[in-house]
Amino acid sequence: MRDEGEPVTAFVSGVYLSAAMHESYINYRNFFYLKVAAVLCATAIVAYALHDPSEPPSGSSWLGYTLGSVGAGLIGWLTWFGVRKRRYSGRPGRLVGWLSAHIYLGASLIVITTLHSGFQLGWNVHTLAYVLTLLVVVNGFYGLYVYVVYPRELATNRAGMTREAMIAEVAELDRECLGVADQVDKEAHKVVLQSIEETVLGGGVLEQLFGDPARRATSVGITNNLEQVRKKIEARVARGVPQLENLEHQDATAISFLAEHIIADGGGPLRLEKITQLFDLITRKRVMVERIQRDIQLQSRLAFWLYVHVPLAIGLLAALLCHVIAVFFYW
Amino acid sequence: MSERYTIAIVGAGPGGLSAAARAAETGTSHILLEAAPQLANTIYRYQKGKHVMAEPGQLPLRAAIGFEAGSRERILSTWQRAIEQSGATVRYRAEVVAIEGEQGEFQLKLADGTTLQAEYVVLGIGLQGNLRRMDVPGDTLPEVQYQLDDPDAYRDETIVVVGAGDAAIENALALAVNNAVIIVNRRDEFTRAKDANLRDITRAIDSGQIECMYNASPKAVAAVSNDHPSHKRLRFEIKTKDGTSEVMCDRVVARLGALPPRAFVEACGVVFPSDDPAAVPSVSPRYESNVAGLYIIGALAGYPLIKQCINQGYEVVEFICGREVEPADEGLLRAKFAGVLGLTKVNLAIVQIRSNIPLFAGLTPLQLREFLLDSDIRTPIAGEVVVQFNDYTNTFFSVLRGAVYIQIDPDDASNTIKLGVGKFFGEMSLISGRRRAATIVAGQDCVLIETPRRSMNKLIQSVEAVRRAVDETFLLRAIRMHIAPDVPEDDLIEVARTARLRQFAPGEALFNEGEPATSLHLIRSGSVTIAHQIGGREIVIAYLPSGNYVGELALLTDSPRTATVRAAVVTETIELPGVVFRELLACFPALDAELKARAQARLSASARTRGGQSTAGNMIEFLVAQGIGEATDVLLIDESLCVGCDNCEKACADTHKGTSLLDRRAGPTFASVHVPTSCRHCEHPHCMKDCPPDAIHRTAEGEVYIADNCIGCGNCESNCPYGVIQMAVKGETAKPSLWKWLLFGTGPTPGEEFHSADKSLPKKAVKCDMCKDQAGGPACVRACPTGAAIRVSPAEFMAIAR
Repeated sequence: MRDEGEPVTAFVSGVYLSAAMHESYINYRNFFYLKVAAVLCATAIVAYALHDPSEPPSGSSWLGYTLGSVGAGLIGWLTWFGVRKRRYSGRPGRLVGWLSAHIYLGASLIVITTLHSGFQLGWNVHTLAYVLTLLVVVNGFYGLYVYVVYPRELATNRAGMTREAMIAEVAELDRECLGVADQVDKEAHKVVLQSIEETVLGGGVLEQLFGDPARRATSVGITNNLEQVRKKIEARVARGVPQLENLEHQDATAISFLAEHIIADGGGPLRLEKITQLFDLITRKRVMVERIQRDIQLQSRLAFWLYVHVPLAIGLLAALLCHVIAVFFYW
Repeated sequence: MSERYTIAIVGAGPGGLSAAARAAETGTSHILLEAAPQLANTIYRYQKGKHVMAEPGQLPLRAAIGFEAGSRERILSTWQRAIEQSGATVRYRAEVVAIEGEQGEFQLKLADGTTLQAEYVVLGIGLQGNLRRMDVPGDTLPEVQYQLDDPDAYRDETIVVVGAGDAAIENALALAVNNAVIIVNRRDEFTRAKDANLRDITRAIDSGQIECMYNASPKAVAAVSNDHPSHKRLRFEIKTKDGTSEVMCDRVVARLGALPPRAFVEACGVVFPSDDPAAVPSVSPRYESNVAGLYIIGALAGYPLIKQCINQGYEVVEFICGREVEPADEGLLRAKFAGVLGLTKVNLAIVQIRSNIPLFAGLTPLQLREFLLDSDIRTPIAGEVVVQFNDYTNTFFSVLRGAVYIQIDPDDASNTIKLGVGKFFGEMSLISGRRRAATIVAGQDCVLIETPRRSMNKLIQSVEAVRRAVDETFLLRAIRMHIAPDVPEDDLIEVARTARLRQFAPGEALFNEGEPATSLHLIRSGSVTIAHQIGGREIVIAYLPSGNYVGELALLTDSPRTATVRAAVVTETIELPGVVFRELLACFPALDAELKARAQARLSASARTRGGQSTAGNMIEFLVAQGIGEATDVLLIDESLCVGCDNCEKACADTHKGTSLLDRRAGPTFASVHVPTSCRHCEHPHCMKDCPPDAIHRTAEGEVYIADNCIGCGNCESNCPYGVIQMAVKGETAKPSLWKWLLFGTGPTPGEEFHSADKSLPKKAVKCDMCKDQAGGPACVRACPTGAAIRVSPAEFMAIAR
């Protein structure tokens, strides 16, 4: 909550809610944990530079042990986040602070663990723990990127609609399409029905994550098909129109021309009108399906990285345990 | 020789049953005469499964039969059993057609020709036996009915429902499921209906499910022959504004209420106080009418509540047998006054209240008793804080003895105003639904009556004198507090007298930009938006909640209105004429200077907005359109931060017995600000409006919550315009440990919604309580990892420098 003295007009700037009222995980308490992490890294680097061990730098010097303890402590605490975020009741404090700390202190692990290793790498469990740490952190960076970029994209793509509303709209458009297709002919009805049956939202993991929403929006075939039919009719109409350059009267002339051919054509102008209508409806449905696919994609990208982050972190915990035991018992 | 009894009880409703049971219990010779073939005919004819209330909740039941709130079926079977066990003499299908004679020798003539003799008669026939008819030709045809027992009994008929009350609406809605329904309303809207019914009927009419004829009244009904081309049974002529129209239908259901069976009662010799068809005969405190020995109890005597009737049935037998009996509430009231010196008798206390507090002088002793039953008598020690500044409490206080002191300056506790005997306070929060405007401390030997919001509102609505007195005081204090704190009260009385109370519908303009300025508005309840014409469009630049005033700028500068001010929600203002306001300023130059300074600050702030972004204005407009103008605390989600993890919902379900009380995805979004479906803790909560057990309360911090005495009736769910109340089965409070799930994958997922397989478990209303019992505030906000979810007070973020 703000102090009384703070100008309320901050809201007028239009970004009030996101800037002034919203303390996000990025700027939590004015970047407090970024500062903590920076101090921690700077201290570690300075200590490393000043440290003059008798042997080459490694985890077994006093600084190495210190850095190792700090690193192990941090890893333990960072994984605790998974527990903390599920403890909903009776815990004062906000999770946003924990996430902020998780990100900045997690990132500082790169410096801490690297200095702890003393750049001594090899094919052993110690390096495994180090590499896993880096992988978790890098994956975390990707997660951060996703968290920063996708929510906005999601909001823009949804444009105030919920996914349920979008799906309901597709269903409604489907109904309308069928209704209009019925008035065109049996063939159109069949094709539209097929397209409805083939509309699949979501799909497999890979498709959700990496599929092209535009390509995956079905009914592309049918719109192409319709487009051809329409062009054919239009071309035929155009051929018969005496003053084609008179654009103002084009439609009227076309219709009057077609009216003469009504019997021969079996309802030409009506067909043209309905096909145009069908074309519009299907295009709208296509856009909507594309938006839903995009929504699913963004949402799954927002969630999917965690399926890598968490198992890697658990693997890291195991490797870390081996590393510590190995160091203390077998060194 | 005809039968002879000491007491003849006419009507086996709650009162009659109770009287008969008591008479049987005390061995008094009696007979209970009931025209219908069953007990409690009015309740018997309620819709199946209807929940029957036991109001007033505080009033103890004193009777030989049991009664507590429950379903119609349960109550009827309880009574049936009780009356059988009591050994009372009951005669069904015994309609009394005349009562003659007086005390000691009453003759009761029954419809079957028999005559009974009784020393005393207790008349408990209620009103429902005398349903109001349409009073047009054909109103007694068999297809014209005045009651509807089972709406499901009719299918594929065309049914005309006449009436605009709750009964008519409920019948129309129930019948419309299987029939074509036309509802005939004498007026142009449904003003008498409960909010939920009003909304349902409006929706049904708008969607075409029910046809409505407004400004229409019945003219005549006639049966038509079988071979009529419409295949309908009735021709119903209906008078409308444009003449008469004819509706062919199968059935007419007229729900026009009930009238006292006046002719019958008058024939017994009972006098009515007025010609008003709704008038009821007046009775003595012992329920005796002007005919000696003829007692009247229940709805016919003006006491329509079941519990009152039952108590009266008991009491009337005691009175007849010459036993003294205290009113049922006597003990409770005595206990309330126990701590007050000198008020050992309830009657004494009532006399003192009526003489000391002018506000209550006009109340009848019965009204006052009921009012006191709901209230608390408080005897704070000198210096004790009675009302805390900024608390959300909304009780009403009257000073019975001693005095209290209002601290008018929150920063200076010594700057106080004294309120002595007979004065009252707390009306500001009661009316505006906002925080307490000042701290009030008790003086020496002070005795206060503290009345809950609901009881006080009931009194204000039912007693005109109370409403007027409360309004006048509110007016004076509001002007003093918000506009002219240093002007003596006497000078303000004149000003207050010229002020007018105004009410505005949402969207209605208090005044428009460019109009000449004639008055000043002080917002009493609700809130307003302030908008400028920019480029031919109205752009909202600010939002002001109650307690603020608008329209002073133009008056101070002698210019036309500089902005358009509209009500954001239903809003009440105090309108002060500009002339009086200017006079006030002329008399008090200091006030003039101060107001000008304040106005200048406001002007420059508004100029800044005006010159700049309309985003803020659009945002206010959007939020106001979402009804946030009446919210006190609203959950907003910044969509540019929300990652859709649903941790907010999980946290909510986890902390509220397995039901998430918010729906993150639902709700509108504007410029990445999303308003999810979640309680806004309204100033005047819609949910509180019609809660039979009075289970919805507001804490001092402002959270509106539902207490455990919820009966699951669903009124609040249908009254909430924001759809934030659900009916749910509550899950287990004790949850298995998180580690079990984390390490072994057993037990429920944290934050999982609770679903019960047992469908018979009772559902209760659940809603956001802002985690009032949790350390650290709302769980949804605490559990949001990105900081996207916030709970804010709209007044705080929408107001622009005052």
